Amino acid sequence: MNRATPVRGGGQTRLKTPTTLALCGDEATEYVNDLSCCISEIQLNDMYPPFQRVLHSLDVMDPKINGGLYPTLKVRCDAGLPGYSEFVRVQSDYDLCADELSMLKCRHDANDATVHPKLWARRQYLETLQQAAPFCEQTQILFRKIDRANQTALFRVVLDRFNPQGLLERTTVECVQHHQIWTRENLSLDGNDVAQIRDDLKGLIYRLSPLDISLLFIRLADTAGLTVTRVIKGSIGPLISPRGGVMGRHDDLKMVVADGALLSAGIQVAGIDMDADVNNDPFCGEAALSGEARAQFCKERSLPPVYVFCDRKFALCDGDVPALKAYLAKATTKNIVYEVK
Amino acid sequence: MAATEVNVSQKTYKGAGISIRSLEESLGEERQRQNVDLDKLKSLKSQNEELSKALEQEIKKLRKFSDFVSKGDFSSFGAKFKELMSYLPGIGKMFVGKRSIEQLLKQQYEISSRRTHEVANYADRLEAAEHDLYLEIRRLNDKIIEHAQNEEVAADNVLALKTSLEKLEQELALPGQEKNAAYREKEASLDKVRELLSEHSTKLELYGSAEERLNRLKENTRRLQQTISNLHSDIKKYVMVATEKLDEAQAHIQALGTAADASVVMLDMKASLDSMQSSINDTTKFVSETQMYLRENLDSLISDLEMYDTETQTMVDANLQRSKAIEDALIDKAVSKALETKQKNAKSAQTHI
Repeated sequence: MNRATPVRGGGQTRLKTPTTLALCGDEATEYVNDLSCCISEIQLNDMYPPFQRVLHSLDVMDPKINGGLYPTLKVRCDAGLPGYSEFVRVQSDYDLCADELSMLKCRHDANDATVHPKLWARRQYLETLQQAAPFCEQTQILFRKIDRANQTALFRVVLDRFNPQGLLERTTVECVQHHQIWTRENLSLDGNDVAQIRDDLKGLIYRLSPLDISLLFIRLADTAGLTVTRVIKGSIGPLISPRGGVMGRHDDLKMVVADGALLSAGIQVAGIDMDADVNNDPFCGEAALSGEARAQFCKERSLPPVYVFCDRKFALCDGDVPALKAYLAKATTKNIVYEVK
Repeated sequence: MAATEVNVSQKTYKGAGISIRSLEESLGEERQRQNVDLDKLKSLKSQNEELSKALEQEIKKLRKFSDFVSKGDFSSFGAKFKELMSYLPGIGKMFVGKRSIEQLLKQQYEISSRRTHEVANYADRLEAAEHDLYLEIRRLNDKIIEHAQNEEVAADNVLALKTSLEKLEQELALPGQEKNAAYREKEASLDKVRELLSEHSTKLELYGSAEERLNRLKENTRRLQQTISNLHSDIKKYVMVATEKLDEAQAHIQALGTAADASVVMLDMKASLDSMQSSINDTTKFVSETQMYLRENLDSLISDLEMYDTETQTMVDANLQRSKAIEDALIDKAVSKALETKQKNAKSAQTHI
């Protein structure tokens, strides 16, 4: 994992900030098109960040759609995806767009591109942006079912975020809340049966989510009153693309992409309902906890054995498919490859 | 030559012509436009007030958050003990864990970013208002030039008619002339020249007055434009600084990543917070200064314009009275002339009987 490494210097902590690349004009438009096509093709289910929201955010990042109001698009070089600030910028505009549009609509000349080209462009951009919600960091709680006999309730906690590697990630925690007199309930149902989560648990999940999937499972399983049954992490990226010099950190894959872009989407599942570890992800290295260490850890905590499943799928231009298949054969993984026409 | 024709070359006027009524209507429209511009400025002032309040709140929150980070010394014994305990099976179950600093930083970054966006949008609105006022000045200038040119045309016409009048008067004053048809034609021409002279003299006065009054309106519009322009250029500068600092904060937050909750990166977190606070501080400081500027300038501008309105009204009233007096005099003159002619005709009829 390419974690931010603190570097000490002159008595003050210095962190290595991620390198970004500013794309502008046609380059930015082509980049957005490539990435959007790949995301549309790669078949993401609800274990991944909501792809419609991501596509909408990408759509309005295109300088042609935002009328050049934001001429540059900052892309993180390690992930090959637009940076956190770009998504925040879109979200800020979305939050303000209702008020802003009502102000713009009061001006009769905001309809006239020749009088105020900038206001005209802003109005067009905001009207497009208003059509759907963009991608943003958020935690959702979904109530699954209640077992009154055992005084337990099954919840699903979903966290969408930008992970430290610059990828868009969804962490899903499936857990059972036990009703205990001596502990505060982290998850509960209000009078209308709407699931509620305590800020502490929300913060804990956020804080631990960058950890390796098995460590995340075990750390969450330590939470009082909760039994974690499954933890899933689905991530979009990295994107490897020669366009505009954007390159992911997987050097060996750079040769595969002659034209267009190569997007991958990874999934990691840790759960007590599996009987063996499966690693079908060519990017996934050694697990943070070995099988033995994990077994020991679970035994000490009286947990059932936890197994991990990793997989990754790819989307790229059809011309580059044979090269990718050769790479995957070398990595001894069998991954789904979607061709982008 | 027909009796009403005058042998004087008169220059033609540009535009739709002018009369006392059309001048007053046109100036009324201009004042209306200026009132709309002032209303826009008033609305910008109220938006500025709202922003100022929101930014003040933001500063308070950031300070609170900064205090939380400063006081939340994760290297302290208590915190370390709690952190250590949380790793132990059994005992660890008693602790849910602390709030994620990275998440808090990100939430704060998102709020600060939204505020900066709001200010940037406000700057765009100022830019549009400034652009509108430039268009207004351009339009007023076109009108002023047209009126100035028409004033020159009117002056030329008056001079040409004056020469013609003097010439006709001299011709009619020659002794021993027979009062035949040619003589009467000259008299008719003289009357027509007088009529035209009066018409062009009025136009000369009206165009001169219109030029001067529009020019004063333009000066006020220019003051409005300068006020908006100063605000816009300053706010743009501050937004750029604020955005730059937010970028710094964002880079820090991204770099913090998983390490955000380790005590070793407290300094970087503080730096990130400081950048955000500085960004919001700059923007707030400016918006607050703008508030003062608007309060001082807008109020004086409004009172100036109101004063100007009264002055204009007085001038308009005076002009109307003068014009009415001239018209009355002309009518009186025409009536007395008509009466004289009637009396003369009646006498000649009695002589024939």
